[in-house]
Amino acid sequence: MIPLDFYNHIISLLGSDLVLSSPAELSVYESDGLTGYHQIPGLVVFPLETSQVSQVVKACSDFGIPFVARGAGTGLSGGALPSPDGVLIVLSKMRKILEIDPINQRMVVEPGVTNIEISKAVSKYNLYYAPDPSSQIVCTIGGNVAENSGGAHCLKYGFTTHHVLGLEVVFPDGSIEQIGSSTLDFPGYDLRGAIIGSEGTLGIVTKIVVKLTRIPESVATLVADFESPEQAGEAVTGIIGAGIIPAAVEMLDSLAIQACEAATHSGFSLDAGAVLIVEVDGPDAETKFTFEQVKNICKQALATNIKVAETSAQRAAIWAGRKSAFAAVGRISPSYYVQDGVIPRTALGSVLAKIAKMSLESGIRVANVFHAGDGNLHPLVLYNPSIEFEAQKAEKLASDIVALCVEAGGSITGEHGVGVDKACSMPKMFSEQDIEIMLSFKSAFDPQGICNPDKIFPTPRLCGESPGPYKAHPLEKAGIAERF
Amino acid sequence: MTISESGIGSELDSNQNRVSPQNLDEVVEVIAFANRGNKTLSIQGNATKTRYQPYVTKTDITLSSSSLDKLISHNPSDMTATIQSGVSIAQIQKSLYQFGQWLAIDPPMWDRGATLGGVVAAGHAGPSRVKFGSIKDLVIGMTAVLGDGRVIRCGGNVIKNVAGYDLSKIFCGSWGTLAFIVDVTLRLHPLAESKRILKAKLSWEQAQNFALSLIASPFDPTAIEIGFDHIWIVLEGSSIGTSQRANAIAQMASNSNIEIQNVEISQAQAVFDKFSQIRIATEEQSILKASILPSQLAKAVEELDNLANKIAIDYQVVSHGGSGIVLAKLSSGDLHSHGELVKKWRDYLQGLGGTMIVEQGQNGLQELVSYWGNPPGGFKVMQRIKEEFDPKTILTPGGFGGWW
Repeated sequence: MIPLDFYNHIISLLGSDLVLSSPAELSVYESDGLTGYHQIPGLVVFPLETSQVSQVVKACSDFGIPFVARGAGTGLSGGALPSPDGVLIVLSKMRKILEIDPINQRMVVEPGVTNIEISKAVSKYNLYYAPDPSSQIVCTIGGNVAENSGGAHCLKYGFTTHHVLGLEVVFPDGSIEQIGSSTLDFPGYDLRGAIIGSEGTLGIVTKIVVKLTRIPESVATLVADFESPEQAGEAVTGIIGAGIIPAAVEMLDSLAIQACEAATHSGFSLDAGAVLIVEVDGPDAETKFTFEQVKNICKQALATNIKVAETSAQRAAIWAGRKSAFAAVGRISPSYYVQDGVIPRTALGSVLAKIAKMSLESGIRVANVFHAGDGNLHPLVLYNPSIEFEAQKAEKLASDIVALCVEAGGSITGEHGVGVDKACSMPKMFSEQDIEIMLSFKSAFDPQGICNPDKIFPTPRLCGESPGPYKAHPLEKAGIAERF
Repeated sequence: MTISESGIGSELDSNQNRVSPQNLDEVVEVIAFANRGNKTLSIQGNATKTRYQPYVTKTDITLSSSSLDKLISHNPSDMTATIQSGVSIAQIQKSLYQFGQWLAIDPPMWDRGATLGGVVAAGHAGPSRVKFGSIKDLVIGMTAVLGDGRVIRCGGNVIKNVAGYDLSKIFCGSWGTLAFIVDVTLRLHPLAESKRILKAKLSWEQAQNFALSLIASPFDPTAIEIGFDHIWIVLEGSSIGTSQRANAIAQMASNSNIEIQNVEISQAQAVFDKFSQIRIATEEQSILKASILPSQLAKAVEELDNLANKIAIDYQVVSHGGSGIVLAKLSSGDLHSHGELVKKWRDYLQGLGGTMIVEQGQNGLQELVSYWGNPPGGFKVMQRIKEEFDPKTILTPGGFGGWW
């Protein structure tokens, strides 16, 4: 329950139009894109400007009430899952483009602006915003900052952290600070770099200075069919080994191909064991040269068919097919988990073989979609919730796949974030002391532990009775804060 | 107990209380020892940047990375490598060249022995920043020992990874005030097949505008260096691609009545050496680094020229075009005149939304002006990070711009 005096205070700050408190209204916000987790928030607020965010956060700090920031709610790790009896601060009404500087290739935006809106606003200057998560039509830049979002093109162009120069941040005590700048260098610790990807646990970003990128002169895209994902993997190794950094290399295995074709008819070959989508871009002459190299490497790796996108419409169809892959799997399975793990690219063949074996042994089908250039796997673990124990079996398989990625020298998450979903997997990748240090880092920003609590880090409540390496937060030890 | 009595460190120079741990455990031991005895520690790689750090007080122990000199792993097919902090950038590049790869950075002092740990601690970048970014854009993981002796392994071995806080960003540019960096995992890039260098003789205003038109163009320069009355453009890629791009740039230039010349790589090297000399100063000289919007370059340089003339200081100035980085070397003038120029030029640049730091100052300049200027946004949080990671403030006291 939200205390009445706190509620009244928030209404006095924002007015009742920007506050939701009825159970029916609150329940709309119980989940983000990871709907397996739900939690009804105590209150939902829609600030219109930084000062209102600051006032709400200050009130939370004064009353010791937790808060969680939310953009479009497309996150896939439960990072915007509300806190029970906490405030959900929805930033979707802060969606102004504040400044465009095409000469210096900078733009200042509010957090509720969608990823695609940034690129649309500057396409007339031949500029765009490079990170392109699959959800870019709806996801917000504020959410991208929280998750350090990447996308299909990040092998070449990098992640959010490479394209955000400065931030206005409301810290968990309500103070407003300008972090970084619109120029490249600034003295002091790079708080900008730490806040990007911190999943909303260090503060709320209310303004973002993004760096824009010149639209490449030319783009060339092909789809190559292979008999198996292993062979497609050989082609990827060949491409990278030749010193090529493609704009994107995506792989779909046979089950994923079937799903995508059922949904979008993008023209992927239904009889292929795997397809590779390879895109190169850059100056015209470089693109032509590199594209020929890529074609030859695919042929040498025994591609059974190579289809080149001849028009931008064909290219768009290929990407529409790829970007709809998660949703498309719904066509071939009533339910599924989207997994997000990373492996060193060279481990692709062996990891895929192990995933296939685990799938066979458990009787649970796995469709694989990868950002193959950077080793980011998205196995889609398919299950039927109406079959007894199948959901549990699928969940276990999904979690075993993550463990496999870490064993192979990779990561538990490449772009979806840890959130609540993988908090209990953090010890697979980090030592007890690593986690303790990250928690002490958080307490430098959030000594009260009220800013998106219970995310990223394992806690007994999240991870059951054997909480692994959980250790008390320094403030818990000191008796200043409690975790429940 | 002194450090020589402590039994720590197989390579201990007891005269200087200098210790060179050979592995992570020994680093932990030294820092734990320092914590127990409240002894201060300064960190040293190849000592190429000691003049950047005039506020650092003399410490009880010098912790050297010189024995952390191993390339731990290099995975050519994954284009990643894990390297100990004491290895020099030059050595790293030499090892990687054999595989047709490089660490895509050319930071100051790289040709004078700068170590990986030092470049990370300084958060440095060089001319190729316009294409590849700075060191923090290439670091994907790190092992470090905090000031309180705790070991953190952050990031990972893969370029795409969002698990946990990216603390390596905080350590990049922390100047040894939070942690001792033991090893770093890096993203590598392929060496280009071909390189072309172009130049044109231009005024600062022309050079600024030409640099802006280059970043607005699709021709993807690796570096745009401005200085000594010229703009120098580096193109990398395939031989056919670089030659077509060079032609396209020449065409673009001729539309603005700018004459572009092709330069032999060997010839250009002498010029680029001159550029890197800007960052090497005697004890009477000062080096200032400004970070501004690329469109304000000409204004920034004009103001520098006005001030230097008024105060009667000789200077040289160069810029990494497209990145908005301006480097000025004050080559004559006394302490007071350097201080005056720093204050006035900084005020002017701040008015433009930029920042300026003194990278190296004439001896004693730190008494007259703050090297880093005003405390940045988030300063209190920075202080609390320091308290969390180095509660006894034993690591590199004064190293954080003199603030701590």
